[in-house]
Amino acid sequence: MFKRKGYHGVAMLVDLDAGTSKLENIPETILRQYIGGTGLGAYFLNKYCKVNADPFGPENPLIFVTSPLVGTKITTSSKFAIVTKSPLTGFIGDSLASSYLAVELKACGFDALIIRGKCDEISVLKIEDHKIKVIKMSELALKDVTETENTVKNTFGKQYKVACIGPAGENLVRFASVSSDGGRQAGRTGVGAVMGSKRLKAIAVKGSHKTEIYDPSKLAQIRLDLAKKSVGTGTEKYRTLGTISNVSVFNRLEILPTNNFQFASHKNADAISAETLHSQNYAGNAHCANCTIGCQHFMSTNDSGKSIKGRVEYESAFALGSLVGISDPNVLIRASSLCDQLGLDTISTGVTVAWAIETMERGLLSEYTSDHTLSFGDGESLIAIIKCISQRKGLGNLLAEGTMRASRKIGNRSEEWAMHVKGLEMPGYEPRGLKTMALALAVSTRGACHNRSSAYESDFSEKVDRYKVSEDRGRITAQSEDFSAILDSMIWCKFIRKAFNNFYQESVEVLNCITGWDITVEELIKTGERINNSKKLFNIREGWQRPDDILPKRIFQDKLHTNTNEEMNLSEHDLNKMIESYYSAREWNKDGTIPHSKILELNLDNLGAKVHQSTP
Amino acid sequence: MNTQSNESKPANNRLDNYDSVTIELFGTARLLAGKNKISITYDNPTHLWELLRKLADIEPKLVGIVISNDRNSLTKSFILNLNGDRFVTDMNEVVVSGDNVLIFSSQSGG
Ligand code: SF4
Repeated sequence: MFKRKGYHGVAMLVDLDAGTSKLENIPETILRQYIGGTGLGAYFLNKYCKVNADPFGPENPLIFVTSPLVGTKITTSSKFAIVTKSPLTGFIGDSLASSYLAVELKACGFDALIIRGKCDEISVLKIEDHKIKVIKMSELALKDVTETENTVKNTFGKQYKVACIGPAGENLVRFASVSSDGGRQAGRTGVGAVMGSKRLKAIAVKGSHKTEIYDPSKLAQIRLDLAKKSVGTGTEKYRTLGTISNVSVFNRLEILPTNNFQFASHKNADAISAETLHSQNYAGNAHCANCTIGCQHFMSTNDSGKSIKGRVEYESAFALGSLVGISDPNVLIRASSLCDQLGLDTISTGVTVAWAIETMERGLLSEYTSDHTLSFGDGESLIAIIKCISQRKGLGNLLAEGTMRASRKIGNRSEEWAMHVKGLEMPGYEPRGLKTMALALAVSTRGACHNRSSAYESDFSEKVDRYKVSEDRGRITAQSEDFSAILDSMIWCKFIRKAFNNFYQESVEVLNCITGWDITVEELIKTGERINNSKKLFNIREGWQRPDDILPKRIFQDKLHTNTNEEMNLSEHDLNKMIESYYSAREWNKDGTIPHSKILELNLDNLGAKVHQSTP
Repeated sequence: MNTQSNESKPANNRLDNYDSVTIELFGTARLLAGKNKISITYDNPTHLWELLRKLADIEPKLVGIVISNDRNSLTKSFILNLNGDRFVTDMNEVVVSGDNVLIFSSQSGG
């Protein structure tokens, strides 16, 4: 067995149908070409997911991947990726979480856990080093994530780290999340629903393996330097107020999606801003595993006398706040905490509910109005519908399908205000006021995603005019995606990126120091490009077509007017121009497929049978 | 359609306040100063660095965290935007009457 420093060099394959497991070697070339996290996950998805697999079928692999940095205690890098075929998009789905689970998973002695098949009953996958056991635990059925994690730990021992789903995952809500470390969520693309489809309530892991480091003393120095930089000027926002700081700023810049993207600012945004919540509801900070930044800011409130404490990130404050017209911090904290407990992605939940509110206001959900009355700003109906979604009850059953499928079912033009791309609900960045981000949202392989690029950064700079489209947006977006692919494969937390003086150079030093490789900056940049192309290849084989790279119709049809009465809009023609510039920057064909020459250049022919499906 | 839900904001006060600039503070800057907005009056055309010096005089708590120690620019943690429209890093830029100078975190992620 190959044993490369920083890695174990093996993947653990689990077959839930047969209750068996086996180790498989991962060639060193593959590790070097895909690193870990979402990159290595994309490689395994191409390899182990059958073409046209049903996302809820036993043949769809649920892949947990760590990275060479996991276990080194380098700040913010104790993370894992979950990669699978998304039940929302039918394309690649991936989600990251910071957690001690990542550290324990790696200590089990493999670099990836690939789960296929399906359990007969609600079960837990118990992993101790290379020993794998599927244990039926029907008593966990429909338990929330806190109770599930606590029960599993009480049963197997406190040393076990647990990743689990809530009732939403069990009920196959297409945007269900996976929770670990008492509420850290791998939220997006429905990874929890895939876990639910396998009747896998939790995985519990405990390991004793160590990975060797090529140059431990140099790594210790790097770790120290980075820890110091991580509490410097590049992370001030995350440490002091957290991501929810975006609310007041985005509101002022008129890019805070409000009432289902009908507006770009919210008249009561201040009430749900970081500045207000910190003075009224602040209940302490927390750090993820081995993190020196500590961006998690807890807020507390009460629900009928019961104290509620939860994290409120910007994306939750947008999706369960301005987007659904909410300006009551009590409702926001309760809704966000409820989603976490039930195992629901807050973004997709809020966007789907916002669609339902507008659709109901337009009189198109009359068959449901006897049981549900939804309106913008109505907090109690928001809380009630979140519970119904997790239970797939009444209107909740329709909304559990996500915005794209719900709007297709209701028809009557309701697709026009269904705010998703490729089936994944939109994050809180108004594309009409952020043109680079508009492009990134349209072309992202996982659908409307703010995390697989940081394209908005250029809109927040002097480099571009955020209101206007331009041809350089293609290059900017492609570079930003490749940068993010390295972040998500090594795996760094996104919030440390501004602490680096030279991200690629410092990342190369870290990788080489751990593995003993001689990777150059050029090679690492190429790796980012390879990873994004491998994701695109997966989507192409799963039926991606040029029209899939698009934004919701509302973005083109409805103009916004700023408070100084400037028009803020985006035409389909202008978006298409930017998309052409993106394909060109990627050296892809005009129809967005990948030429064979690019596949060979990036050594993607190791993805085997899938290559021939791309346009020559 | 308006970008503001339900009600519109007051009109831009460019004509009313021709000799003053409003500084709008967000995040940590707002918490340190204890206020959202600060109006600064001036006699002559003012560069951004001059404005920051005046702001430092009014709110010395901002120095070192929001405003650099030399008081001529912002620290790396913060960024400046003019009127919600344009990001500016050149502190020699001149502000005009009625301008709104927004100061918020340079970390845009979330
Ligand atoms: S910066 Fe925040 S999200 Fe990132 S690892 Fe640290 S606590 Fe977790």
